Amino acid sequence: MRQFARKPVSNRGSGPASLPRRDEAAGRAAGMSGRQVAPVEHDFGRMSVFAGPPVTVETTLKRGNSGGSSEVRGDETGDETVGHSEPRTRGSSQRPAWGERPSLGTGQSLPPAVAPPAAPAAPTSTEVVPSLSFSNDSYVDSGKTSHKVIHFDVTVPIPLDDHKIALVNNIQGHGKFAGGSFWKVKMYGSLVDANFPSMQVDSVDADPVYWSDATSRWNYNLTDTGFFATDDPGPPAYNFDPGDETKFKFKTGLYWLADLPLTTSGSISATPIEEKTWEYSVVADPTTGALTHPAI
Amino acid sequence: MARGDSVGSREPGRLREIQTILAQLNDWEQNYGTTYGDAKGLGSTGEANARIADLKDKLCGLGAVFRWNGERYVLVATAAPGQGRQLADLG
Repeated sequence: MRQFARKPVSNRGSGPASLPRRDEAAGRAAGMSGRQVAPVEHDFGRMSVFAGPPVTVETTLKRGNSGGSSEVRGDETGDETVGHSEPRTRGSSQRPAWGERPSLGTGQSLPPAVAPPAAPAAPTSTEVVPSLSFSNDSYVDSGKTSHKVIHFDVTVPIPLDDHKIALVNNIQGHGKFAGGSFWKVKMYGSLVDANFPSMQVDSVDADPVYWSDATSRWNYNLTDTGFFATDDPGPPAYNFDPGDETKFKFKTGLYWLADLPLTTSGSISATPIEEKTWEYSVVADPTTGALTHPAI
Repeated sequence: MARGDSVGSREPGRLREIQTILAQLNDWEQNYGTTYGDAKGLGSTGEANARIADLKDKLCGLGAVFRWNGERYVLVATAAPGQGRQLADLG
């Protein structure tokens, strides 16, 4: 059974807390006791949760390195159903229901009618989706070299499965020497000029998934909140002689892995969950060789 | 080799993990790397170089002491987890 290694989180009253309860109920039905959880298979690739009335549920989850089943623990007190409201019913009390007038005896006067409160807003559906952010999006220049080791940080809300989410990088721009020739890069398994006039998938092999290789499509680093990968573009040896310039614009997208084709020759039709852009722009002054980073 | 380093760890799980990552590192270096051999003149849009650096970080985290022997990366010794390092290239 998969162990999530994630810090305790509060579900802030939203729907995911209903899942552990479902697991526990299944566990009880299967004769399991305590905090054992039935091995229920979930498809956590995508899900919508019910955003019902706020209910505080203390939940502890642990995340591990492999995909598959999950163990989710919730508090076990009470039997309330999170994310679900019982329909209000009229009781048998002496109070009249909202909007009704009480019956009166002879000679009694009617109190002013009390307007019923506005009906509660209809519950809305909130989609639980992963999100992408960048860190270390800055240049480190040293002599004639320039690096930008950017981090792609992906936050994956519980109970989504990290391994069902992937990154795809796209690139546009060029990298050339002072003489005007483009340096070479590996793209889809072939050597090509570092000259990409329009935005295209950036992948060393035919699989568009970032960091995929022959053994696995998913090779990211798990964190407490999801996973991350890094990038580090640059010319040969990251060296810039006077007059050299590299101007790359990147668009990094977050996708459901199942939506991505196994191969690409430059474009994909899948719709990203989220996309963000960043740049690697380095120009070496033709005379002094000083490095600058003009915006593209 | 530093004192205390040893090959043939008493922790077969860690050694197996090191060997797996070392194999991945060699695959990435030989297929997409830009540091050695004919690939020396190549630039990178970043994917391969970042992945190779990531794998080296993982090896160091596992305590692997490794080096480029002129053809591939090889394990030289194992140190305590977190004490791994890449030695100077040969060849």
